[in-house]
Amino acid sequence: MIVSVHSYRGGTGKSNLTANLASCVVQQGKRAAVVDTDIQSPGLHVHFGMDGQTTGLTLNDYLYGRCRIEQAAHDVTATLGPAAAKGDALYLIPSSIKAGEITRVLRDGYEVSLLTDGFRALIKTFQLDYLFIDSHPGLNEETLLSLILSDILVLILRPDQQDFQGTAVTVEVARKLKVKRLLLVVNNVLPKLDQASLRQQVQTVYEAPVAGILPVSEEMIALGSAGIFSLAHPDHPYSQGVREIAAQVLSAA
Amino acid sequence: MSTIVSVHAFRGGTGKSNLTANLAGSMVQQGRRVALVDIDIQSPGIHALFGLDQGNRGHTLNDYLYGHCPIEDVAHDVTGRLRQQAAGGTLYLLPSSIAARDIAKVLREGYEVHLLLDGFYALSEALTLDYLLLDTHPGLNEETLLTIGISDLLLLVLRPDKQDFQGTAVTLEVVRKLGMKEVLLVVNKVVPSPDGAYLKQHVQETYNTPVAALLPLSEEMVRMGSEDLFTQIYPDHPYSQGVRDVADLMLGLDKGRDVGKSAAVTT
Repeated sequence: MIVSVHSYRGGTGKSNLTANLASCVVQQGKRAAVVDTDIQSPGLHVHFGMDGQTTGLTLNDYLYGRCRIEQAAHDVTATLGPAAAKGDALYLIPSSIKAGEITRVLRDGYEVSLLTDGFRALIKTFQLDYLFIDSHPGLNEETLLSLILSDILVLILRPDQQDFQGTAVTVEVARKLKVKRLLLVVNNVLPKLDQASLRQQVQTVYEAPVAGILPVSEEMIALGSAGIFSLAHPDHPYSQGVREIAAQVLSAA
Repeated sequence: MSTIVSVHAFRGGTGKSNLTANLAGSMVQQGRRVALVDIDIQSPGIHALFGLDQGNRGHTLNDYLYGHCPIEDVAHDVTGRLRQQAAGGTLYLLPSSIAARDIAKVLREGYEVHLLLDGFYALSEALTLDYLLLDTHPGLNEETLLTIGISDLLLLVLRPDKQDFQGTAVTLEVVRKLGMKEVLLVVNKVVPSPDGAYLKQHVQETYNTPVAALLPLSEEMVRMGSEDLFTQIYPDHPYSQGVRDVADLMLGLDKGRDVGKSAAVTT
């Protein structure tokens, strides 16, 4: 099953949610991989303690024929620590953070169909239950492709005018592409806000279920994308929210 | 000729659009003529801060790029959004289209990127602009590289976050290869603490680039949710003070540049 995590604008907490959701699903005994298709501005790897120097093979190496996609898959199950159960597995396929690699994609482009082939190969080789795609914000070719391939689209927005308008655009495109299942997540919500009425309002506007409402959190900002929040703070309302979203992803299977 | 300033960030969500809009407002309140162009064609958003939506936006940058109108017709006079106005100060906004079919058309057909550049020059002449502020899409892409390449100044926005720290290094490496000299960093969404001076120094040393301001994380900003210009509602807030500092720095740099130009002429 392929799950795309997307948002219209950047900074909605997309990479953070992707890392946390995947971890949560793995803790429930599933095998999962997360692919960073945000080739223009990768960041997902940071949650798994990688930096530019230690990244090793990346999605870019696969796209330019320097390796098979399986070789760009890093086993990051250990990131989950003692929470990982036997048989669980979590793989990360990072995008390159090297300036030369990013500008090469701009200059030469790449065969977008290779992404489709790569996703299929990953699912098969690693016997994955879930493949999560962390996309670049906005509408672009990779995003449209991942929407077409996805069984579930998780669309994140903040309670913000820019996001409200843009999410309408994305929902319209997702419906045209016949995305099978759309789940909305409202992130960065101030605790004082009336959650029930926000949920109702968002569901009515977009005619799609809200899978979770996640609070804005100073602890998360303090973590500064280092690590996986729900592992460090399992009892925090954010982590509780992530588990609820994961439950809905799992039940959609 | 007006001064072209690109406002960019590697990752999304740094507060780039909010900063660009507020900065433009501050410069206009000092009597400057400023146009703000949303070149985030993949995910436009800055128009929301000026109360525009799909229903009332009129012509967009997309109309210009596909030959439906001259670029001047895309410029909306939004000076009225400022609570206090200075003589001569004028603010124009050039929004991108938020209609799904327009965004899809750009993806499907592309557009002539040089039209953007031609448009900037035509605009600054037609509206006798002092400043052209460009709000870019995050990450490295063709429009970004091109617009940075023709800018007089690049404002690079980052948060105190590991993803941003790595990405900003990448962006600076590319930007320097393009020969861009004037770069200012703005660190946004800083949790207020006594270590601010240390953070500023640390960022300046890491990137060997001046930090124009540290802007605080603000609950009021989150609550406002891009419905208005923060500096207009909370003029005394530390965020607003920081924005004015950046505006002053930019106006000062420009004076320096003018002095340099005239000195070059006389010798």
